[in-house]
Amino acid sequence: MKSCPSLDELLEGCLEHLNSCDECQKKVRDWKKLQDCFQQDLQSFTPSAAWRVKLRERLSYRDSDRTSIWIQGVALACSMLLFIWSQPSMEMIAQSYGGPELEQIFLLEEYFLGEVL
Amino acid sequence: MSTSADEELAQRAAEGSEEAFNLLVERFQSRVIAHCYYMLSGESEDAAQEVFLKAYRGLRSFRVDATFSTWLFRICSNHCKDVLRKRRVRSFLTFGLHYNEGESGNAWEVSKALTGTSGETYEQRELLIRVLGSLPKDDREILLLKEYHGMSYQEIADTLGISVDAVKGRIKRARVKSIENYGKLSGEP
Repeated sequence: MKSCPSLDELLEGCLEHLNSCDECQKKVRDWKKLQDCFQQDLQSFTPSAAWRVKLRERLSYRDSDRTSIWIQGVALACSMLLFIWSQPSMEMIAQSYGGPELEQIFLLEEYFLGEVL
Repeated sequence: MSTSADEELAQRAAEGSEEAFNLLVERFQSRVIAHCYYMLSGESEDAAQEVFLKAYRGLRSFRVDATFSTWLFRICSNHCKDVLRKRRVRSFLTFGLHYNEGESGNAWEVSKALTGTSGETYEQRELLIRVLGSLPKDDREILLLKEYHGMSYQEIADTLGISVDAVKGRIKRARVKSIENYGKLSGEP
């Protein structure tokens, strides 16, 4: 395959310019130094052993975590459905979850609301 | 090792081989941490872990006709964008008190603890942070993919989901800017 004469001319022109232009020479030098910086810098990014251990733990616990979240979600949904289905009164809720203090609050609320209405 | 071996390992990992995935992590960990470091200006180790977790979860969607590095860095790039988006939202909600976009060289935190390096390497890192930090996010990302990870134009186009021509244009712009910045910051005649 023959090389393109225009490309040859172009490259020759570039080289001629580069040899005579201080500014371009400096830019080429800077670019090479910057590329070296990139390559040397990459080698210094070695993670710690703790990082690797943590990642392995997160990878191995991933499936069990997902399953437990899924079971918790289903259990919560079931208890909510049961709760709604049983149609508890406010007194029942107070007795089951709130104890006597909450029961008193409901009674007071009923008293005052009854007075106002 | 050759690139095709990466795809082979990814396939084995998708079939459930933890050993294969650990090998992939070992091969790419430095590059992913470095990418997150320069894109997020900190929190790079946590971000890199998230990238590998996302990769592990998405292994089944990996197609053999794609290269593993392209696929992994697409995940990495998207994750970094997500983190930056969340930071912007947090900054908006807290009236800019927690703003740390990483757009400016001054906002970067040079972590000695991360690398355990000192002296010349540390100075070199600081210079790179300033050079890359003065570039817009998109230019910084494309320069990292080209010069840091040594990707081809086509691989970068596949990673970022843009055309090869757009990649060439953006790389040219990023190179010119970074050379100018390097010249100014290095103080060399």
